[in-house]
Amino acid sequence: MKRDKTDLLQGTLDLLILKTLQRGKMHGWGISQSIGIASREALNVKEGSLYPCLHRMERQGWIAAEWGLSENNRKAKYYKITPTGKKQLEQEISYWEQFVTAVSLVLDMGMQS
Amino acid sequence: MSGIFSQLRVMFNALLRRNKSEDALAEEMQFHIDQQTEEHIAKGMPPEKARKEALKAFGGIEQHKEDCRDSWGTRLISEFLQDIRYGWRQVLKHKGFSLIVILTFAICLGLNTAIFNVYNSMVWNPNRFANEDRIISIWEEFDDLWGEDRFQSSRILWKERSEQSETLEAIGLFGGTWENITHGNSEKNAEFLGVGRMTPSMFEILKVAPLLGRTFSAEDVENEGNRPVLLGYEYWQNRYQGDENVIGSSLYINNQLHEVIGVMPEGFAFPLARVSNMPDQVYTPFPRWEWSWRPEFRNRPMGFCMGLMKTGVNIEQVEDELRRINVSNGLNYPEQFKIAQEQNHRTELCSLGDHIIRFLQTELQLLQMAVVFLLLLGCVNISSLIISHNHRRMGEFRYRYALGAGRFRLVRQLLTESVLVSIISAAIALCLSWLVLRSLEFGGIFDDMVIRPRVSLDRETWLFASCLALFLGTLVGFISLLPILGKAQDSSLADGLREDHRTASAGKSFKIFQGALIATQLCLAAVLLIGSGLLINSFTKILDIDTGFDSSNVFTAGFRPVGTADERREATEKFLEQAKQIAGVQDVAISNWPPLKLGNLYLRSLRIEGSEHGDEVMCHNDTVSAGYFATLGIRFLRGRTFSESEIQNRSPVVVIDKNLADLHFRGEDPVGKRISIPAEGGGIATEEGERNWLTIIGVTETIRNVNLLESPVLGTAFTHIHRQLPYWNGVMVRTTIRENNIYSELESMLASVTQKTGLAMPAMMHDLVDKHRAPSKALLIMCLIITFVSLLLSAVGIFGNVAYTVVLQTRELGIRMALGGSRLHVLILGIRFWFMMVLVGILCGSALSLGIAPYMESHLYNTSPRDLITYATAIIFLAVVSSLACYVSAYRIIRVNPMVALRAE
Repeated sequence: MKRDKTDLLQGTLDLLILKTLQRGKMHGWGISQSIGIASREALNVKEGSLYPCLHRMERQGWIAAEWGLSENNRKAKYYKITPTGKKQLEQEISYWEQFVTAVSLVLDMGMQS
Repeated sequence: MSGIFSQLRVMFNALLRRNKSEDALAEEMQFHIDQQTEEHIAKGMPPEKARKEALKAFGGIEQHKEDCRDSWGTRLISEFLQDIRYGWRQVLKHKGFSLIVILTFAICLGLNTAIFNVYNSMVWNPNRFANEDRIISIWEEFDDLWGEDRFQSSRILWKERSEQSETLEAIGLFGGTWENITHGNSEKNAEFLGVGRMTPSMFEILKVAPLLGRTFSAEDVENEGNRPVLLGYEYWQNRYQGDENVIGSSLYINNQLHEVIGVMPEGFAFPLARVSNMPDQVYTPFPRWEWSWRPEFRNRPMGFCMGLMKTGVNIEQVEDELRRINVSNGLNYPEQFKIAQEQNHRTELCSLGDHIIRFLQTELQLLQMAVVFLLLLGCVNISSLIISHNHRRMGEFRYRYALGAGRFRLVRQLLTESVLVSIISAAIALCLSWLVLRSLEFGGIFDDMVIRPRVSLDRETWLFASCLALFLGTLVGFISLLPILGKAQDSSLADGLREDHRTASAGKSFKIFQGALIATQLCLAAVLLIGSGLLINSFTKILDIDTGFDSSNVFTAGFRPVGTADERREATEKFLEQAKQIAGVQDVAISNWPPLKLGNLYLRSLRIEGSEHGDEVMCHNDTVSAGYFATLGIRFLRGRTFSESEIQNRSPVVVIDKNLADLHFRGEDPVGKRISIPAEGGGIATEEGERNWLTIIGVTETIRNVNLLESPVLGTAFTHIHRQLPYWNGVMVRTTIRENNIYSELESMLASVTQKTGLAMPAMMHDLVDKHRAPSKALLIMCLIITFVSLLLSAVGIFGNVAYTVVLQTRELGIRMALGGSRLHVLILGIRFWFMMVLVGILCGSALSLGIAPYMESHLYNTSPRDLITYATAIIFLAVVSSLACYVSAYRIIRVNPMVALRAE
């Protein structure tokens, strides 16, 4: 079966959103576009499910929201990363790296034997 | 920290700015879809298709919104608020139903709260003393020593305990008396005041610091020269106008100089003095009484004994230790110890609270039991009402279920409704209980009680009412859900909800459940009505007790003449003579013991001529003037009172009461026989005095002289005041003059007769009797309230429940009638099962009442706990109400057209 887009691993959406917001404040649509472009359309972020995730992260205090005007002069809700969010991002990155290393080690084991 | 703030902010917005949050959510998602659409259009897609693609990529908007709401973390709360709003609308929608449920709940809760408040303020948490939970009262008990069984402790026992006990931090001895008090030798009139006597250790036990100065020290007791006195707050205010320089001033107690060393704080009323109705005004150290250390006084009552337990020690440990101390020291007093052992001497302990309300506690417990039963009855009533109400709402539940409400959601909503109702009821209940207590207080019900319950509702009462309401609300909610959940066990809830459509009558399991509920209801109602009926009987009998004397229009007071024996005798005679001259005075008498007035008894050893009984036979000895019997209207059964010549010749004669005659002259005529009673002895029978035989000249009716409720155990011998002048003179005057006037007349007359004494404790005899009846009166009124409410509740509950269950069979009965069943036959069929349940309930209730009869017996006065009339009345009332309920509701069904009944839902 051909797979042109990869489904996200559970829990990685937080990491992607935080990383994306590190570049500056952005609205929900902007975030989904940005992830798409950055991953060269390889990652499949279900657009609607982005919002529950954003609302949860706002409640957790990792990101903060404010209403502003978009490029085409429409009212839009912008999110930006908070200091707590930055710490969380560092943590998420280090988890991710551990995870990747661990998975690579398992894959390498087959090569060595 | 910022995490918590943002969390609170989001929850706050979600809960309180709900509409704004919803709009923002919708706008945010709409923006996303619009942006996506525009991008598709920019790439050359037709607008319609672009929009469809954008929506498809976004996914279900409503689902995403629901997920967002979940992520706000307020779902449970907002649903709960929604349930409350819904519940409130239900309450308003079904006004009549809600009113009945809330009132039932509020009345039951209110009465429970009121009794709780009374109990809490009198027994559990009276806040009288700092260490009250560690303070114990110590009594000596002997089997039939002097016909009584509970005694104060002796000096020697107290000393042994204070020296050897390791479980008690302090142990004290105290008592009280009445004395003449003057403030200088030149003062003419004395005040006759209550004097509390206590060992210094009592202050350690009560942990009460004086307002001014100091309390007694060990030195005060050892040094005979020290005569300290403490003033009570009230006396200090009244006599000294609260003068702070009072310390060091002097006052005379029976002509003996005492030095004021301190003032006790406001509200310090000595616990047992309150019980014995003696308002202490001043306090002195417990007297030295050298004679009380002699071995023969080891078993003799000397004072109330009280101890403070060390922290962590329980009452059983103290009891064990005191028993050991009794035995190990007993060897030093072989003779007394032997007597004590023969009389099965036991040392009994109880907490101070138990001691103080000993005379009330059993009745309070019964009342408490009654209100608990009432509450149970109320809960069953409410449950059955809610069940029938829910049954009518089945259609509503069905729709909600069809629209996707889960079973859990429905259960939660119904529980919220019943808890909401219970909370509203709790608020009303608190007002109600306050109202009940206030109106009882306003009605003067508590006025005559020695210790009064607090009328204001305290924190514990609030807590009690709220917790009870929450608990019962949940409980009732669950019980009323059982039929719905029970159906769910058969198949699914939906099937259960549909059940009444499939069958002609109510489901079988539902019918059994409802039947059990009716039986429980009647069982509780029967127990409650029988129990409260018995109590009402008993309290009424207490109020009707014949005291044996006529208390109306009798004024009583007391005074203590000072001086030599001859001076005192002369003063007493003069007083009697001159009092008779006062206009409006019919009879005057003096005695050492006005009935029901004071808390100490004059016991004497009694010997009957020609009897083998020794001095171990005891009797009360009242010394009275000749007019005593006429003044109090005490009837003579045989013989007569002291004659003029007997008084003048000082003849050795005595009048006895029926009790003494019955006890010691079984069947024989006592008049003319001789008995002997030692004349002297400081209130207690001491060594054998010279035996002077007294000839019995009359036998009177036995009167209630000590306790209103109990006929005295010992007989009484009345000797004339000439034989031995009382320590103080109790005055009784039968008069038509008002209380205040006769008091001032007698007081001014007394001042002309003798000096340095005052007239104390003025009271009308019937007030004293009323005071003894007051607790029973208060309890009777509470009992009547409870009975009235339980009659009402059982009638309403039974009617509601039975009528509803019969109505449930409407369709079944309709079918039977349509098929040609006769009206009578269908009627019997319709009510047969329910009527049987009613009978089962009543029978169970009667059986249960018979089961608790032995427990009731000790609390009832002259009333059998198996009183046939009470049982019959309660059973007939319940049977009539239930039959009427069955008949009326079934009759209404069979009267209608069968086709209408068939269509009924």
